[in-house]
Amino acid sequence: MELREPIARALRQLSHHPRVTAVGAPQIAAGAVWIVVDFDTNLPNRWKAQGHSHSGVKAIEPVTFVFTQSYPADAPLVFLRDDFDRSHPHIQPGQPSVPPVPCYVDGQPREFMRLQGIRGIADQLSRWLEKAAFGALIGEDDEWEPTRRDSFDDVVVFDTAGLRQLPGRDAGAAFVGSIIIRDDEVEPKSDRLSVWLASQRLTLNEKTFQSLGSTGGTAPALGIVAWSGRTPSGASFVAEHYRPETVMTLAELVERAGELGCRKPLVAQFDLLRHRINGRPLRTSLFLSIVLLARRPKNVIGHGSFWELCPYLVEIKSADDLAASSAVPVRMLMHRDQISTALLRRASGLNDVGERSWTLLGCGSVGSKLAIHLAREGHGPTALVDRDRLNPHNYARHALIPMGVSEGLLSCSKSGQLMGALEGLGQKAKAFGGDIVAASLDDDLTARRRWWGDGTAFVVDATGSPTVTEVLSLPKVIQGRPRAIETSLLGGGKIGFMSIEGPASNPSLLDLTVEGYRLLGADPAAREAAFGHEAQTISVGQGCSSVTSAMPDSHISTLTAPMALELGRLHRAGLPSDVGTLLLGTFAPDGLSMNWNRTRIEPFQQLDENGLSRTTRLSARVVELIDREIARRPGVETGGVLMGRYSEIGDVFHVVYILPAPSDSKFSASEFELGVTGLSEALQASSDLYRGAIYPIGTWHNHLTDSGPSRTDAMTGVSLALAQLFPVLMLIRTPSGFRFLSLEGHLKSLQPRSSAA
Amino acid sequence: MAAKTLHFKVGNGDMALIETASGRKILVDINICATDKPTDERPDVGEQLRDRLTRSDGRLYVDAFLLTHPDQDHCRGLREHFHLGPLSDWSEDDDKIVIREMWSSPIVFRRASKNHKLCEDAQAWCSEARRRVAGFRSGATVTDGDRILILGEDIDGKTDDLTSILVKTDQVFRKVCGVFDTTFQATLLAPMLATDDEEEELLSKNESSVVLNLWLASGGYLDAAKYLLGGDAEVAIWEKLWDRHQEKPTELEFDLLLSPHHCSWRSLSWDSWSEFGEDAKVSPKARLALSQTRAGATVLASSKPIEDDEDDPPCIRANREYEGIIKEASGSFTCLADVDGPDPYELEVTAGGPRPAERKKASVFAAPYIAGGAGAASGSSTALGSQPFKHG
Repeated sequence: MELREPIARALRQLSHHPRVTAVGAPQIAAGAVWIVVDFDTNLPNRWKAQGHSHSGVKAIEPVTFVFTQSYPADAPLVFLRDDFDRSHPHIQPGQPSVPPVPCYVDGQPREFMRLQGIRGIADQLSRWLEKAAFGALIGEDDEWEPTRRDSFDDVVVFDTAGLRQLPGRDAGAAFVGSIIIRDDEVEPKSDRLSVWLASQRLTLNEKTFQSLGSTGGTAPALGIVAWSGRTPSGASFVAEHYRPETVMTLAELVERAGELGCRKPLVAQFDLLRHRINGRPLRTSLFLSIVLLARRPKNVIGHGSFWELCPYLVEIKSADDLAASSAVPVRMLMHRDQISTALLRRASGLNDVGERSWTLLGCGSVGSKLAIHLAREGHGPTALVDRDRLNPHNYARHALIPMGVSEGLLSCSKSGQLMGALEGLGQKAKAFGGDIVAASLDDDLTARRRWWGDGTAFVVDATGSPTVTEVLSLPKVIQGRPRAIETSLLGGGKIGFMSIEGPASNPSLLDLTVEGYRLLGADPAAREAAFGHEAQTISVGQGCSSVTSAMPDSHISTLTAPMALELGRLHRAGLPSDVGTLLLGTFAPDGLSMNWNRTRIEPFQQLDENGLSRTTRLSARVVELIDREIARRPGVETGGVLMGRYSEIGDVFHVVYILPAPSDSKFSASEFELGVTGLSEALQASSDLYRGAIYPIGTWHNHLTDSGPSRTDAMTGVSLALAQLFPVLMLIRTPSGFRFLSLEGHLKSLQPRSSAA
Repeated sequence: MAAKTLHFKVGNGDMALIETASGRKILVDINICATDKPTDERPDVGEQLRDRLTRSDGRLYVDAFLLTHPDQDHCRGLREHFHLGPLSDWSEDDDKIVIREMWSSPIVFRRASKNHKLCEDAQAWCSEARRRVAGFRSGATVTDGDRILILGEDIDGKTDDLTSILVKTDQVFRKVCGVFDTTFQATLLAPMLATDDEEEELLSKNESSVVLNLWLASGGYLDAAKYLLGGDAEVAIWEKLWDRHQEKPTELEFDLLLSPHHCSWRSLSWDSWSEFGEDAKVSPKARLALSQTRAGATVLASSKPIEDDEDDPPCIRANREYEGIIKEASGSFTCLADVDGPDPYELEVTAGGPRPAERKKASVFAAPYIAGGAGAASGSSTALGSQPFKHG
């Protein structure tokens, strides 16, 4: 007999496997090649001497491989010997006429074979048999193995935790609402039903009853949940005997309920329903889901509760079908947990860290993507603020998708739409309109309080609005809010920008923005992207102009997904306890690879002067540079030029770096005089570097004693102020700290407009 | 964690590292030869040992070091690889292994000259043991690095004052470094205190090895594996052990026997193999003492390859005798020299007894191989030609 090449190859590979002791002669039956392969199960000494393990696995186990016509596209079928003990877990449900089939791989064998070949299948089978020998296929945890069902008819979705809330101390049962769908939009059509069960009790009055019945695609249906209570002695009834599923008819279901200690309440509920039907013929058949809650002696594997939920479905056509002796067939429901934060966190592989609320400002393309990413981890935002509406063109990049044609035609509130999407993911968020800038400038705290109440862990600014960044950094706003994180795209989507405030919002979002500009200026590629002429708009988000920063959705996702990843980490671990952080993401020339740079930003030092509302904020780096310069010239005064930004909204200077004093400066014990040689060139170069994002804002010098601005300083300040069209900063370093002086030229007169000719 | 035992390939010599289920590491004898070019037959066992140890406070350590008897092939390399003396003298540059607790036979109290001369490593062991005993006797609090257990009483009441650091013959002990370890127990079977001078003469001539029956727990069974370790104990010792335990032979029962004296005929017979050859008679009592097998028991020979010649040890006739013993138990005989590759022979202890761990070995296939040269079952972590997991 000539074997097909792939099968012959597989046999050669199997025969070389270290655990394979023999490969039998191939047999052909039903168009497939059947081969018995002997596996050494690697029993320890004593069991090997005995010939089998205490769980009945033999020292050498024959395993039948069946290579069908579709091999190697499909994996071979694998069977154990007929008398292999089926009570092992991880044996596929199946009829007794079919030999036991081991579940040797989590997932599809076909895909597994693509990854590791026939060799991998043999490895995996060896491991399966070895574990079976120790009775350790489900680990050694002391947990209850759920009832094994050999087949499933339909799928039911419900909130496990919710249903487990229903039982009291005594046995009981309750009606719950249900929806049933026949999913027949997909070819090939199946008769599989999809059932959903509510987890709240339902009163079965006439009105509710009349609404039931299948009317086509989606139909209201009914569920009964029944649970056990106490034994005559008063102890909790415990269903401690494991039995595989055997229920076929309603009568057997009632019997099963008896074993699980909830027969009486179940039958009582059946009687209530019969009473409601009251001899009337049902217009259409009624689908009734029944969930028996079995109280187990140990927690059910993977559920953390001793309640095992066993769901069934029956189709009722008349009241008689509900008799305790009814032979109505019972369909097996496969349970799927309802969407919940717990489910999403589990599926995301995250430990449950508990609730932590956060506020999202800006529900545009960046904000919506962040919100959905985090919500899919079970940690969505709890408050959403955006005054804009979701217009048709927004769907090009927004995380939300119009459900159906009509939604895409409408213009709805962005925050409201996003709230609806989060609700679908089992998460509640409050949605707000309103102008963030106006609310921040307002002395009335009410609006802000609603957005970020006391329990809010952090605020994410995804508005892409520099104005929002500024108002969020106002002292009066900082006072009443949690720490903030900014997420935006710079340079027309060429740069990802994420800043995380330090403790007590120091450094603030604005401090971090100015520091961010300094860092971008230091990187030639990033500099061009961020400050180049192409970069007409600073950010993409709520405030963007959709014309100038047009880019594909995939591009925005490339930048926002890493920020969402970081946001998820911050959500779990909390914000850094010592410093602020800047994350700058840039693309490699191929436009695909990204590099993210993380920089720690120390808290800024804030300077206030009596009688002045204007303040100055110095980066820790600037303080260090100034002190280093002073140390270099002991005994004399020294100084230099201050670089940074002035914010009009906050009336505050941000100083992030200094230019050294020109070479012709005069340093003496009584006076420092800033020279001019090369200064204008240096300022021009700096301006070219930052394209104006960082600019000279004044000068600094030191005093050798603890004295404030001198008369000379004031005079110099005046002359400087006259030349500068915004306030000038004169910073003085004294042995004990910083002082500053700030002056601004007055508007004397305006040139009259030449009258229109 | 499963208990594991590692048996190093040291030719005619003994060296085993026992790891209890609780993670305690007990070293039994060493035979670490200086080697420039390690081979499969003569691997660098010193390095292999260090690889298996963990560090605490920057130092490699073993929890206990059992020296069955101070012969060269059981303590070679002690001074080079182990820190001796107070812990305060430990040097980072030398980076020697710390012995938290010594398990020593009382031979350290004997004069070296009495029966045979001690090699330098053995002398170092004895002086370190005496240092630790002195520490105990001084009444100071003894901590790791200064601990010692004396396994067996010495003659003339020399060990009577050792109280808590003395384990008497037939006593069961379950502490390592002063702490109960619920995953092992050891019964001290020998050395036995002689009842008269004549016997003393006989016993001391016959290699005064420590003989232990060591139980290693797994899967909730304290006696999941019983190891009978007998150093170089010879026929007289085994005869006497049988006399003492024939009423309760389970004391001698084993899942694994480290065949005494590297599979020597002298542990089974009074007759010399080279003189008597096939006429040599086996001692029925010694054979009984060494054949209390549990089902599937393994006899391990820590020796050179066993050839059909006049050599002893290892002796082909002893090999045959052990084959006979384990045959009734459906067990197996393994000579470490016959184990593939340089790695120590590793056994893992399970509820069904010990079993050999998977050995890493080179692919049995000629590369390139279509679907993986050596998969997980043969100990390799990646398979040639495999693809990474994709998500879609």
